[in-house]
Amino acid sequence: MLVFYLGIVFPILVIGYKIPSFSNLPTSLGSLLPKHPTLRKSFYDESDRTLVQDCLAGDEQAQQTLYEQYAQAMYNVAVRMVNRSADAEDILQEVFVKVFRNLHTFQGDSTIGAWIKRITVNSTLNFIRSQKNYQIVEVSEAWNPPLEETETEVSAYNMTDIHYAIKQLPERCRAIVSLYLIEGYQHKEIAQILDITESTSKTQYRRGRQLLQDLLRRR
Amino acid sequence: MDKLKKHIKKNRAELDRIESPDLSKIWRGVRTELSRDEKKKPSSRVISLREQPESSRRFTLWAVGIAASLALVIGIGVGSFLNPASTATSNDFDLAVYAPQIAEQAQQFQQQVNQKMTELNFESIDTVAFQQVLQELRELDGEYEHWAKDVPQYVQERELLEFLQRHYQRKIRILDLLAKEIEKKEFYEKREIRL
Repeated sequence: MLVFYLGIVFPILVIGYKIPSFSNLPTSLGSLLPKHPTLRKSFYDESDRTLVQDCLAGDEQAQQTLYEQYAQAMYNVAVRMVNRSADAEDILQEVFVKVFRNLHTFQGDSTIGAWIKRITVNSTLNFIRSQKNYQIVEVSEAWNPPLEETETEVSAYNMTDIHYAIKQLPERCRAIVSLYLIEGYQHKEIAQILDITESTSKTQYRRGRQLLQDLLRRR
Repeated sequence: MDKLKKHIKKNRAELDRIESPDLSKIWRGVRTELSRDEKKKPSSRVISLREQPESSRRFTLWAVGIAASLALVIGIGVGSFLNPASTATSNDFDLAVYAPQIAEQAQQFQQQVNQKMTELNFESIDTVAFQQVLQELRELDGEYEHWAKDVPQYVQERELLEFLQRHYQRKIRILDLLAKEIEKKEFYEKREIRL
């Protein structure tokens, strides 16, 4: 039975995944095959799903629509971390070239937006790391800055002020603050992607967070 | 959760719209890059199944299916005969057997780690005071164990080496950090005694 499954059924299913027209076979197998193999999982949004399928089929208009849908958000993610618009524009171009070159590897396990954002974050960090003078100093301190913000004070901060205040932070902690505070990364992940220790990530975050508070209060 | 983090989470979408670059200029750059890819593609002729008549297509699909089945069965048989290590578990993973050259380098890394640990008198470290750093070391070792389970699936020696380099570099960095912390603690303790 196992040999039958491995030898006959499994390869047929594999081939069925790769060739959509195989679902037209006059056997009961055809109806069991998913309509699109690469996007079979938890795809939340039907319009995104169709858009990705059209992009995969080489539809240039669909590619431009996908780009327009996410480009501005991704630009803002990048520019907050690098602080220079020219650099962020270069990163954005590189991101979308990567997106379209690798779209066939997108499995649909996350949303397409989350997938593009991961590419954006990684490309931005690669860019930052490639800068000559960039280095995050390894530090670890049992230092907890007093963050005495009240609810009223925090709710008065508008997003534009927060965005520009983050851009003003020193390079060594800007990316960490942006990843932790805005993009929802954990210190463990940040440590891994920046190749620093978790303690350093936490300490640099606390320092950056304190500076951010000072900057926001001055605005 | 930090009040500011909560506030940002609530208004996250606004942060995506603050700055607007020249999107059409960037798009033109993307298109130029992609069209270069298209030009580079070799003009190999692949016979598309869609181009064939229905009867011939059905036959081709079945033929390909059967050929793939046979290849798979033979592949599994030959593979398991030639590579009994593929069924190895983490318990019997031995880098010296799996990749002897890399094992030598790993041994050198390990020696550096051991030396650092001896310098730090690691066994007698205050586990409460340096809890956070020690926890990081434990997690790093946990990651290594987890990785070792997958090693038989790795085929590239380069990947093995890169992982080991990263692992030991991080470990040494954490130990350096621990040394600094110990030094700092001793300094403050001495100062308190003097006072």
